[in-house]
Amino acid sequence: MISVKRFCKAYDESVAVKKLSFEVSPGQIVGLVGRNGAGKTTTLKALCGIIPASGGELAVDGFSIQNQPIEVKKRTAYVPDDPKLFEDLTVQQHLQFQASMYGVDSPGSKVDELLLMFELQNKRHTPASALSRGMRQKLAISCAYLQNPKALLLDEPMTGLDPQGIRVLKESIVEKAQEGAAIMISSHLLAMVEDICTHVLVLNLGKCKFWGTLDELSKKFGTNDESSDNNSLEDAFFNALSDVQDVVNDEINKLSGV
Amino acid sequence: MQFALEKQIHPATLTLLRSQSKAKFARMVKSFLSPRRRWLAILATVLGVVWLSQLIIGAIFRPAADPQNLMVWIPLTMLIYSSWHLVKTVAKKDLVPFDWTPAENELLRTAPVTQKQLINYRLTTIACAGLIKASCFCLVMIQDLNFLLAGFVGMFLGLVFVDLLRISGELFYDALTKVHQRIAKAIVFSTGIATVGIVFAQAYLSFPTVLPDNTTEPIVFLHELIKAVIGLTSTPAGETLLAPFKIFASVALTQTLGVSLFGQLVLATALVLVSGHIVFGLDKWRQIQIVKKEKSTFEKAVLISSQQTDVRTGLATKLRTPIRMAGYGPLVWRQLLSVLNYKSTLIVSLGIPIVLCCLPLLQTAPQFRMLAIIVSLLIFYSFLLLPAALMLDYRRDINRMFVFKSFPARSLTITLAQLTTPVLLCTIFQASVLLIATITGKVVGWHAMIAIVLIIPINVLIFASENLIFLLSPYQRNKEGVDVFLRTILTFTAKGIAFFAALIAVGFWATTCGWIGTKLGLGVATKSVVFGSGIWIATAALAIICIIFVDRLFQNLDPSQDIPAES
Repeated sequence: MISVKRFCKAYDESVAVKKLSFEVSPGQIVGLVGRNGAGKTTTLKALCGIIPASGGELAVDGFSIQNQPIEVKKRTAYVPDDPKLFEDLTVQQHLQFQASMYGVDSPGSKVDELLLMFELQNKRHTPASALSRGMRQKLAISCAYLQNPKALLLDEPMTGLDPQGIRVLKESIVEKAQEGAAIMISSHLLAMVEDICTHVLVLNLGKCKFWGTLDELSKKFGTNDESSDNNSLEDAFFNALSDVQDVVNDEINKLSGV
Repeated sequence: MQFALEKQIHPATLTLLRSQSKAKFARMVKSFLSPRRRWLAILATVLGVVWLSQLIIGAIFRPAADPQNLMVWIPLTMLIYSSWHLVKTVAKKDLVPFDWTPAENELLRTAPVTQKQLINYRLTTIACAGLIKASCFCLVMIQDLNFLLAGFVGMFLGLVFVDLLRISGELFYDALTKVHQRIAKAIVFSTGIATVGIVFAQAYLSFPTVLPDNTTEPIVFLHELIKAVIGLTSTPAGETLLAPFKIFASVALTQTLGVSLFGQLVLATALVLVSGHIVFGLDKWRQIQIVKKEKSTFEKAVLISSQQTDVRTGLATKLRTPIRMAGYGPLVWRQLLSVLNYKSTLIVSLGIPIVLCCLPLLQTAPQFRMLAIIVSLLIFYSFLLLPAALMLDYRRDINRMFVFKSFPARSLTITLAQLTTPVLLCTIFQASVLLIATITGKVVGWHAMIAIVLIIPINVLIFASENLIFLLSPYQRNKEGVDVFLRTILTFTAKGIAFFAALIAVGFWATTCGWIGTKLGLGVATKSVVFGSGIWIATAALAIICIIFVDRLFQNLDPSQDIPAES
């Protein structure tokens, strides 16, 4: 469903992503993890055609983002980490807009369902400018769900959500995957990634450090101690990036004169 | 001493001010030197050279203006500017006194800094901007100032005073209850309308029955208008309102260095200091009023929420959506929803050009000539004023560019949708003026209708070129600083050159039409049709080229690199 081959992206003189390749099949939920500036958001933005790729091939459902961007965008939904909504439009008007833009037929019942699901029914006629951070996030997710995308790209989707919202979102992501969507979630919440993701992509400085299932990650970078409580994704993540951390620690020691 | 100073201005705010100035300059230089904008940088350099040469030549070689005229016009301009700010304050939907940027709101206002230190920080930024503006004033007015330093000090104090008045107005209005705000709005608008009405009536009544040689009705009327405005300044109300501004003008335009200048300087400084104290006092009062307003809002909200019982009310199973039209429909629909939200601001913004364009209707002229005068004025004001008033295009969506990029629609469709609303509003503005002209019997109805059809490509050209300039070098709205100043200057210079080139082209085409017409033995009417058609086709072609360029720029825009930070 989502195919990335040798994807590269540079900003002026700095390389954000270098020769990244992976594939996400329908039903898979991929956790995109890595340190700040690893290239997670860049990858997601390039996949939905927001930013141009400096090299490589990106495709969704067999359509190339470079050659058939509109076909890709029709099948893709992207929820950014900081949603930029149309401040003058109300919650309902946002959903009307989205339904029209993505050609959703008779969206009424779907809109009602989403508003109830994300507890926005009381805010139906509230302009986006008057919504709290969490509400804005819920509205952005509702807009993404309305079009029933084949590829769902979520960048830090839990930001600002209340516990109930987090639970609903997690359940709905799994449900979307079961319905056949390919999902990518960029997040620093490793426990959440562990909870719902089937695969993990660990990025560091724009390069793939690991790509595979959670079990494979544990086997490769875990403590290899089955009885240990510490054999978590967090440990595996730090082990995967241990060489980077060693360099940072060395620098800190040098600075502090140790 | 140092502790006392720190109580007034927090050292961190001074550091922030310095760092921000440096960072802004560095960002400007970086953006200028970016390889992505090489051609734009070259163009900006050429325009900069043209503007500087023009400025220097103008400043050095022009004759000095009449000091008495300047003594009238400088205070009058300051008064008009302050009044305009007052109108803007009461018309603004989301008024935020002190204009805090998002970063200032989140970082500075949450820091352990007293309100006094915060206000002093804002006043320091205003003073810094005043220094730059006063320097520019001295450069432009070099021929008229007897003492450059006095000119600089007088103008600097005057500009700071105008800003302090603006802030005082904002603080006062923001502190009022909603009912009182409505009353204040009504007072400001009715006073404004009454003043404009008096000026127009005066000009109309004193319009000469026989025109002087080599003039036209609009020019004579404009002279009468200016005379009426100056006449108002000599009324007791005008004298009183202008009195404080005259002090600053007296300092700036002083003829001699002596006790009189010293006295005026003391008075001007005292005025600024008193206004500063008024700002602090008003801010304290506003804080108290805001607490009261919050309490009342809370009580009302509790009452409303107690009446809401069923959370499932208003289900929308039969929800209607805008027609898709390949993505064009929803984009235009959401812009039109914004227009409804800002209707009062838009009416105020369009009201002034409508009045200005209707001026010639007060005169008598043959119908076709009247149509030509009105259409010329409509084009002129649409070119000059409307792009700033109708920012309902890419310029307003700078921070949503990545959202637009993710839409499943062709970039050309998005561009056309973004341009539709401002062009539509601009056409409505022009149609309103032509409708008034038709109702008053000064213009023939079907002539007006043809004129509207002919003007549309010009409207498209105006907004497409405005978006072209914006996408060449995107900027955040409501920002101030040297980069905005330079951008405005360079854009105006470029527009001036383009306007001049267009006039030459029109002149060349007129001559060519005349020559071809004579060769072919065509009549005046046929020659006019050929001339008009040529102009229309050329404008439409230019508008299309402009749209293609806007579309290209939107396609190539990389939101991660090309969009400047919000603060």
